[in-house]
Amino acid sequence: MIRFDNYSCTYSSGKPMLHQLNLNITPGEFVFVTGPSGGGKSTLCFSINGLIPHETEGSTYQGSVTVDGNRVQDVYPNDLVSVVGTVLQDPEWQLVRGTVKEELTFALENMGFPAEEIDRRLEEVVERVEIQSLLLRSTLDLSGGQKQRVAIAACLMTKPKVIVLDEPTAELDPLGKEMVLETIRQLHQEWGYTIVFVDHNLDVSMPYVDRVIVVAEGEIVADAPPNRLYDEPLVREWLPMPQVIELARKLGVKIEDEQHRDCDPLSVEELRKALHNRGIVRPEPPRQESDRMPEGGVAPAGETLLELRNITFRYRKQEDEMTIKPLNLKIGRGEFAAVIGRNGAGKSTLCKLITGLLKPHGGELLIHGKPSREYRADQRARHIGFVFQNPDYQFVRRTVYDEVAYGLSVQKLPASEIEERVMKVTKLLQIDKYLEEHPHFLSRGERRRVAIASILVMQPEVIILDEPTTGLDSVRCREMMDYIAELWRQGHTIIMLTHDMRVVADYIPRTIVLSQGQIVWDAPTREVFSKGKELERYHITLPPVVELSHIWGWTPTALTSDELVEALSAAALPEPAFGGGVE
Amino acid sequence: MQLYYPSNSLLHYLHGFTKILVFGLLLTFIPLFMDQLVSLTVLLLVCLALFIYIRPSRWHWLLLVPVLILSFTMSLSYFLSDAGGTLYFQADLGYWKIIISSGNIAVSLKFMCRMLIWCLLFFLILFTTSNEDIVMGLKKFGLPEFVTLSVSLALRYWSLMIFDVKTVMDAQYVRGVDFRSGNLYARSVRFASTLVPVLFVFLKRFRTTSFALTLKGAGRKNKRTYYYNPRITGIDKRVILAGGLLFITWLGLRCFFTL
Amino acid sequence: MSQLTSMQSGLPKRGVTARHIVAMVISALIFGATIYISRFVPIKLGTVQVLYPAAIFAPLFGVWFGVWGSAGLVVGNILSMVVVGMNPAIYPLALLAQFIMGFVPGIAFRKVRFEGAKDRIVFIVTVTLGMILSTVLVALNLVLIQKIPGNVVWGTIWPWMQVSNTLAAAIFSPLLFAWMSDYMNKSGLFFKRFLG
Repeated sequence: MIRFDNYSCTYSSGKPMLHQLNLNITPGEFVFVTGPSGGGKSTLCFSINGLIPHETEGSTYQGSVTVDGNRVQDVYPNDLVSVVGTVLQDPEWQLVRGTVKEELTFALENMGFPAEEIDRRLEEVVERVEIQSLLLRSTLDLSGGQKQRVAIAACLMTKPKVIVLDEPTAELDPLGKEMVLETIRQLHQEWGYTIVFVDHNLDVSMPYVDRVIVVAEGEIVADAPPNRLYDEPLVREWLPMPQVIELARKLGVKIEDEQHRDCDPLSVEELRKALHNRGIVRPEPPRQESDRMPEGGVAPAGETLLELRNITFRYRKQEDEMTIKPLNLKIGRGEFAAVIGRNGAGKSTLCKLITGLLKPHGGELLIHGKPSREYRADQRARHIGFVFQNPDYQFVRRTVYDEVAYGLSVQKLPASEIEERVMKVTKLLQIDKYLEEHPHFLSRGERRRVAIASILVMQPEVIILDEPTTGLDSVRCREMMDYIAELWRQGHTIIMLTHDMRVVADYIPRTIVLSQGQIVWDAPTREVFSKGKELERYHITLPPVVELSHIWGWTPTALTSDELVEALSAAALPEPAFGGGVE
Repeated sequence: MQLYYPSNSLLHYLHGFTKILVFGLLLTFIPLFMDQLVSLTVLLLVCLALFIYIRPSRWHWLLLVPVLILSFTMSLSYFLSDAGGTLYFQADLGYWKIIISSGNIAVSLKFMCRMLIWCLLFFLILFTTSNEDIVMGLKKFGLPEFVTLSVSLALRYWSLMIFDVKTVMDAQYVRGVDFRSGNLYARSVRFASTLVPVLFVFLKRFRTTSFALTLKGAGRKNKRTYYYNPRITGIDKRVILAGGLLFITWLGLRCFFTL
Repeated sequence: MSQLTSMQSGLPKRGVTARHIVAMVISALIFGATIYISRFVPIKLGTVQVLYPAAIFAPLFGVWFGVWGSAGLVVGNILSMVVVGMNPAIYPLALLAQFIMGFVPGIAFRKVRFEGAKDRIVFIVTVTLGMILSTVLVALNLVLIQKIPGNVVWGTIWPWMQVSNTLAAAIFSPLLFAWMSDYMNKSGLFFKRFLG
């Protein structure tokens, strides 16, 4: 169905993005493409749908890509619509029409299909993707997951042979991710589409795909079925293992595939069965809690920096319901807390209230025991820093140095002090080598670090981070969290909004669960994650280690792979047969 | 950007083309051929009656406030010239003279009437016509596809852009840049600093939208289908005829009378 | 090296593509929003804004996106009018003026070679003439359609537009251009040809 023959391509910078690629994807295959950011995954997608070389200014190619007999380089991408359907990453800006119905019919209108045929396909697709209730709604009013589902449905309208999805879940919350993944699974399993799915999240997708291709530095470094992927030696350099495989390898557990060959389990259930076969049915829980992660808790660790007393808030549009119901919260010096909950739970509103972007309707916010309204914007910025999810909103200067220094220049500090602080912070976050670079030209992870640095440089007592790991590949995600953990160790107080439960389990000692504008739990992470099934109500998808702990009835639960392996090792497991894990 | 609200007035059922032609062009041009304050006032009242007829919400009524302020401030420039009549007040500011006379008041009132009529007529179109229908109306005037598509995209992305601007302002606020205090100059400078990230964010969006349009077949050479293509009905034809006759009659009458 | 020389580009561009449409939309949105915001500073001379920061963007979009950026200025101005209930049909010459504010710098940027001081002067003079032409058109719109007295228009409003628009564009547009151009060039958003 898709064939790359000695295909290379470059962008205007002259930097090769894909190098001498040979690849064959057969009809009906579900191919998962992954690898480090900037490695060439999106380039691969755009080479299939023809955006490269026809629409990407300055791109050049060599060799050929053929899709369903069409040589992509000889066809304009808008003439390839009925062969390749594409879903892009940004749910907001790839929908171009006012209502869902208009969005769905747009491509067929452009192709000149008669209205009767459009009607027929509309009926079929709407039923398949189950979006009847959305049909007449404005595309602006949909949730992220719904938007991506509409984008997928719009693809199906042209009846393409291949569907290419370029990180369609990167900007979604877990519920949205699940919604989109479910649709993609259906596309493959029930309707037999050939799927090329680019993503970072191996944990969730691995059990469903036929084949995983790892692209790094413009080359394919691995191409294997998911359960044999980590047999390939180069993969581990580029791709940390999903937690299930990591555990299986550390514990030396394998399962048999259909051809009776040894392979890795891909889901928690497969791992549980494999361990069961090894005689591990209901192992003893860890005897003592790991000392790897100091526990936080409801009671603040140090002096109280922030205190919310019966805070309430309501947006103008919502006349009948409070977005934040009477809420009490204390954040102490040196704490590291995660705020979790599904989209719309009130996480962002809570942070905006803390940072002063919104004014509470009732109650009081105290900063150092003093009402927040007594602080001016620049004074408040010295106490509380907020790093936005999208750093692009923040950058106003042309160099990283000026950008990081901007907040200090607003405070009119002397140049020598500004320089000293900028150098210190940029060194800490390892962006000191980019000081003369334009912030917008850095990679996503580097841009995030510049955004964090520009807040950190003002030495706020509390730093609030909104989804700092979203859209980062696993290696970059770990790097980012290591930086943040380092800031915490140096004494900063950190509040982090996140949907990534593995990050919470691995790094963050205190967890606050929000739902419908109320705090449901505020406790040490281990205690919160020990709630088991109760967490499902709040659409919190637990990491495999925690899930496995629940299956075994461990209370308190293990949080990290190391804890779980330690606990099982204590039960005298045989020596692991394979190496692995995130070093 | 969505000023439209669904309702069951006759205007809501008319084709976008009819409304643009009648209210946006024919009736809009009539005030240009009105010299008497009385005529303008009558037309203003008719427009106001039509405005009430389409039953706008309180929020839609509030949109008339900036219109009133705008037309008033615009009309002040008439007091820099001398339209004759009884002189009530005069101030010599060197190069400029501010003159308040009966003549100036009359021309300034006429101007305000014209502005209000134009705005009301335009609101009649915007409040009763969805974006999709406005675009289809424009299409009937023979505008090329890329223009109508650009207009509909701009209408769709307007609110997203306002959201982006707000987020950029928020991101600066948390760094200590306060837009809510300081003098006008300080606020203007702070606001200007937000333009850079807004521009960058938008230019980055440019790629996604451009790719998305291409991948949905925009710019193909074949003939395009218009799936949503409302017809010009009998009512439309009658309204167009009435609008046309009114326009011609007014022009005819004006040849003989000062109206 | 031999490999690089054998690299090929995509098919030649044909007709109006998505890039052109989006260039129009981006120009329209940013330009329209800037006018829209300045409309809330209700200091007017006739129907002309005393402060018109959008004038800074007009030449830039012409330079970056050629004729498409210029057309976007017209759409943007219409959008900003729509929001406050102003009917664009009564501002035909003002809309044409907006187009010229982008068109002249856009074409001058592509025609002038910028090899010496003389070329720069030619460019600056051309852009200034374009700005003057556009303000004349706005003034004519005021006299002919809004029926504002000629002495007020030519004696006060038009000179003020020269100071406000032309001066703002002369000072701030080059600054913003310098600020953004490395990004525009590196990201491939710049339209090399006037027609895209």
